[in-house]
Amino acid sequence: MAADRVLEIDRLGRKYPDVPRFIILKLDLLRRGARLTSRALDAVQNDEYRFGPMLIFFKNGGSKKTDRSNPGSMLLRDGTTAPVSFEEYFEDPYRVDYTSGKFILYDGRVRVDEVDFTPRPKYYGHLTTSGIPMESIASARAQRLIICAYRHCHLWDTGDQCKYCAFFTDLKASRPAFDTPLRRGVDPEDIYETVREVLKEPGRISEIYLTAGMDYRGEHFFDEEVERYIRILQAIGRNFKGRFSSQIMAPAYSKAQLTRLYRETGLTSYCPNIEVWDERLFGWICPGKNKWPGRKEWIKRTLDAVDIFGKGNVYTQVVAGVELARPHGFKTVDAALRSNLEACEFFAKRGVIFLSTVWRMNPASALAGQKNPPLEYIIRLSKGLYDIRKAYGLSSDNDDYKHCGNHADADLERID
Amino acid sequence: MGHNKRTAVLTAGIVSLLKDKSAIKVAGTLNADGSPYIAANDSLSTLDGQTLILSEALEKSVSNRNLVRGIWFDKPVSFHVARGDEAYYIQAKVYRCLIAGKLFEQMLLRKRAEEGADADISLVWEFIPVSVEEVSAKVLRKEQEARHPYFDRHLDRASIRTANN
Ligand code: SF4
Repeated sequence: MAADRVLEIDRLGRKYPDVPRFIILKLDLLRRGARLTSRALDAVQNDEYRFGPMLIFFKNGGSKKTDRSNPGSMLLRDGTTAPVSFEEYFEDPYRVDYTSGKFILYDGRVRVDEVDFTPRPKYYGHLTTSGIPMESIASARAQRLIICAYRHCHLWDTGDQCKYCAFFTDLKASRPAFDTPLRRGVDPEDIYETVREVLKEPGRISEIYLTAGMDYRGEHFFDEEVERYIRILQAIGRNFKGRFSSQIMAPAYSKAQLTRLYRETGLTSYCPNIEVWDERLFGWICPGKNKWPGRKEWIKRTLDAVDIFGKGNVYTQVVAGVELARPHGFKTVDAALRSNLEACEFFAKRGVIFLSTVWRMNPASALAGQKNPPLEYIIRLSKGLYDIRKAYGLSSDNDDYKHCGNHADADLERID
Repeated sequence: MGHNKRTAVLTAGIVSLLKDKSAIKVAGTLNADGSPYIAANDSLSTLDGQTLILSEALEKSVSNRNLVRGIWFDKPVSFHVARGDEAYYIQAKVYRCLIAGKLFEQMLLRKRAEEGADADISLVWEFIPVSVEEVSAKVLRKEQEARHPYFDRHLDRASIRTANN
C-alpha cells in the first residue's frame, strides 16, 4: 500500500508535469503527517534541532507530555518548508528515520528523499527579564518569527468557533509543555526583548508574523484587539529603524482600525482569512466569523485594506479541503475547485492575494473523524491559484516559501 | 569538449582553485526556454572537498530562478573556474537549497567578513559534481593536436616556418 502511495506521488507528478515533485510531496506530507523513528527522535535532542517540548495528542483530543522534543518544520532539499505535524493521530503518516548522519523520509518501506528540519533558533532557552521563556512567546520557521499575541479565541466562549479549529481549546496543553501555565495575554515588553534576542542570530529571521485567537471585544468589534496589536507592534518596532517586514493574521478590521494599525506601527502586510469562500459553507464552518463582523463585511474590509496596505500586501486564505467536509460540503472536488478558483479571481482582480493551506483534521475539532482532502485536489488547487495570481501580476512576498511555508501555491512562484 | 578525462572527484588542485577568492568563477544555468545563462559568482567554493556550494544574493536573479528550476525539473548546471593558466569545467547536479542553518550562516558570515556587516545573502545552493574537466588553453591544445595535428596551425607562425622565408 505504501509503495502504491509513492507511486501515486509520481503518477500525479507525471500527470501534472509543471508541478514539481517537491511540492507534491509537501502537499502529501501536510495531509498525512509524519512520525519520527526513535533513532530520528534521538538525533533531534540537541541544540541544533530541539524545538518545542513534545506533546503527544491523542485521537480523543487529549495530550500528554513526553521527555523529548520535536524538531521544527521539515525542510525539503529544494528549500521548501513543510510544516508537517508529528502528532500521533495521523492514520497513515510518513516516517522519518536517521541513518549515516542523515534524516531519510520513508513512505512505508520506500525511501522518498533526504530531508532536514528547521534549525533550533539560538534565542530558545533564553528568558525575558520577567522570567518568561522566549520560546513560549515566539516560535520560528526557516526565516519567519511567529508570535502568538493572545492565547485565547473568544469564539470558543459561545461555541462559535471555526469547525476545523482546535487552537486554544484550553491552555492546559501549554502546562505540560512549559511547566507553568501560559497567560492569555503577552506583555509587549517581553515580546520586544524576545525580538531583540532573535536579531542577535545572523540571518535567522526576515519576517515577523503575529497571530492570535479572535477577540471581538470593544466599543466597535475588535477595538481591544487592535489596541493590543498596536502596542505589541510598537514594542517590536523599537528594534528597527522604520517599517519592517511583517504580517498580522487577524480578523477583518474596519478601515479606521486598519489605518491606525498601518500609521502607528511598522506593519507591512495584513491577512484576514476568509477560510471558506462559499457563502453557505462559510456560515456553517465559520459561525463566529459570520457574526463578527459577518461574511459580506469580512470581504468588504479585506478589499478596503488594499487602499491602506497597497496591492499585493493584503492576503486571505482558505483551509483547503474543509469545503468538502460532511455533511454540508461540496459533493465533488470539481465543485470545490470551481468555488476556490472563483474566489481567487475575485480577490486577485482587486489586488488581494488569495492563498490555500491544507486542512488536517484535528481530533479536538468539530470535524473530528473526517477525511483530509485528496492529494490530486490540492495539487490542482495549488496550480490553479498560482496561475490566477500570476495572471494578475501578484507575488506572495510576505507569504512565500521563506516567510511562511504553509502555501504550496506560493511556493510555485519561486521560478517567476 | 568531451575528449578529456572526466571525473566527479574534486582534486586538490581544483579544491585550491575553488577556495581562492581571486579565481574567476562562472555559473551556467538553463533558462525556462532551454537557452543558457551565465553569471559570475565568486562565492562558489567547496567546504568539504566533495560538493560545491555557492550563495545567491538575490531571490529573483535569473541564476537563482534557474537553479530552482534545476532542482525541481532536474536540469544540469555547469561552472567554469579559472586562475592564470589553470581552468576547469564542472558539470553538476543541483542537490540542495539552504535557507537557514549552519552552512547558510557560515556563507552569510563569510560575505559579511568580506563586504561589511550590512551585506546579505538570499540563499545557499549545494551541488554534486557529475564531471570535472581540465580546460586550460594548454591542455585543450595538446588534446586537439593529438587528434587533429593540422588544425589551427597557420603556417606563417614562427614556431612552424623556417627563419629564412
Ligand atoms: S478564529 Fe477560528 S480558526 Fe482562529 S482561533 Fe478562533 S476558532 Fe480557531
